[in-house]
Amino acid sequence: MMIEISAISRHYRVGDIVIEALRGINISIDNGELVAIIGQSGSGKSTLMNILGLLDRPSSGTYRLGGNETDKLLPDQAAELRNRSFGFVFQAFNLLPRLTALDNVALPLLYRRQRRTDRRNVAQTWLNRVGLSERAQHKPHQLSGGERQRVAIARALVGTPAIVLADEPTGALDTRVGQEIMNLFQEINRTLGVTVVIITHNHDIAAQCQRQLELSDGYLIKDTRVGQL
Amino acid sequence: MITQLFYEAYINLVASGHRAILAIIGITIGTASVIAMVNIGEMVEYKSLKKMNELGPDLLSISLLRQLGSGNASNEGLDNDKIKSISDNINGHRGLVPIINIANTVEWHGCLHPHQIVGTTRAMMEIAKLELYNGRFISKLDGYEPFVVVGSAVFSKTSSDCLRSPIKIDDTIQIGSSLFTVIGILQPKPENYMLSVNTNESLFISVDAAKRISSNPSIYKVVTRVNNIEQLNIIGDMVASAIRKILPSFTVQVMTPNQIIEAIHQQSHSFTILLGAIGGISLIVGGIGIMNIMMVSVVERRREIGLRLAIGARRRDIAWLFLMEAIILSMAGGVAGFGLGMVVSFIFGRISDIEFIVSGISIPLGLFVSLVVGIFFGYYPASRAARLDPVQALHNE
Repeated sequence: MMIEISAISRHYRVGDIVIEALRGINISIDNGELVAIIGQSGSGKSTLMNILGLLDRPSSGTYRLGGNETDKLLPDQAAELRNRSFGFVFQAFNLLPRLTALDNVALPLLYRRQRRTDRRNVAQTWLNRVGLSERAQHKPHQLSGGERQRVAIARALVGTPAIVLADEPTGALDTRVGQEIMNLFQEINRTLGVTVVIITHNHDIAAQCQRQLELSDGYLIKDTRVGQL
Repeated sequence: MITQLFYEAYINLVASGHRAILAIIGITIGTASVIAMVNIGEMVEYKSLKKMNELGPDLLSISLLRQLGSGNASNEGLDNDKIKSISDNINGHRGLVPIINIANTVEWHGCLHPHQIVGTTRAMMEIAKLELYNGRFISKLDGYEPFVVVGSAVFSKTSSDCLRSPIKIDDTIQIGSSLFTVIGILQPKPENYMLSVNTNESLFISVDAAKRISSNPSIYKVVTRVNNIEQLNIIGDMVASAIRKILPSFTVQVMTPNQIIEAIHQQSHSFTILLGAIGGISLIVGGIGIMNIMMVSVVERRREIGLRLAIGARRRDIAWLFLMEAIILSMAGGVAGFGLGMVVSFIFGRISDIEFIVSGISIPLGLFVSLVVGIFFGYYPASRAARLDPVQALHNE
């Protein structure tokens, strides 16, 4: 599912002040790419990510997803697209503390109205896939940071999305565990052909992606592909 | 989907613990009051109906009361001849039956006990719906004969050693200073307030025989049944005015079964209003408690809401998540309230001598009331949750 954004701007009004988070960005991401978005805090990375993930809408410009315009989507249609086409991974994992690892992974399938046993079966296979087959009945607080992020990745993948959007996925982890998570992203990108977009501060992580987009002050200032270096 | 919704609501409520308990107590008291109110209403209605059936809706009772300040006017009430002439001049009823009420001491086999003696006629059997256990009732032909028909409970209140054997036909009973022969024994019947005598504990003699034991055997009360219930009040008024015409020194009172039913209703009226007020207030307090819990919950779980929106929950899924919690809280109070409401109804029944029944609508009513409270007070927090902006919710710290 190809991502094409052209002349995307996003500004917020805070009182009398207008904050321009994105200023006329053009990006196109092909199926199966592994992309890093880097930039300083406040450079517009997260805003871009939210727009890509249909959590936010641009103030101007167009966003075509798989060839279809997204600006006319109704809220429920956007929800459905998020559910079917995207997987989200966050810095703070965002697991539900009262659900088991298995039920956390199964959550996106709940919103596809799948039956409970089906949801759990599928969720278990994804937990196995991220190496947590023994942790299915653990609650998030019983898991280490790395394990929690693996659960979150399994949750992002459980609906077999075309695109995984990861916002600082290694930000809360130490270097070694962060690298393990990065390896997992590379693996799923390679073996499943899923488009993976990672926002990161970490240049070591970014360097492991085929493509790096650098934002500054709301502008796209660099678009480099590893192959082209 | 529904089971998951229940499951998640349940585990979240367990986690919110004591806060939830307070709100549930409010709903419990509220629902209990509403249920008790309805159930007691039903109990009263049931008793009224039962009473109405016992009395018969066609029963008419007319009493003569001495007017205050009538001074040296005649004390004499009705007699058989006057009753006959009034009775014959008014259509649509089964004849006026006199009731002469005499309290006296009755002796039988050495047992002494005060009892009501009722001077009346044969037609009393039909009007009061009496049934014989044994023997026969007094008849027109008995005249002045000292014959007596005893109620089922006569002498039952005397000490047991006095009662060597039950009263039999042909036994001799002494009423005052006169001896009477037992000719009939009645079956037990529920008390009929309109007759102003407890037929189970009374002894029945003829109007003429009453002259043997009373210096003033005047008739101050007549009863009858009308043929057409719609004419009950009209016939009552006609009889009353006919009596007033010949006995102007008396106040004449007409009593109908509706007045008895009215009195039964009155008994529960203020209690019902009290329950309604408590119910309304408690439900509002409990509902606000639930709303408060849900508002706190929405704030605490902003990130969760953001996450759910991100992974594909629609706004209405989020609304349901919170609405379901409110409904479960409220329904938990409703179930407890049903139990409490039944206890209140039972106690009221005991105190007011009204038979306890479980009203058929109280279970659905309890569920309905608590469901409505849950939805009403859960709606606002739920819609607040559903309207959260996913980006802001996710980045809430």
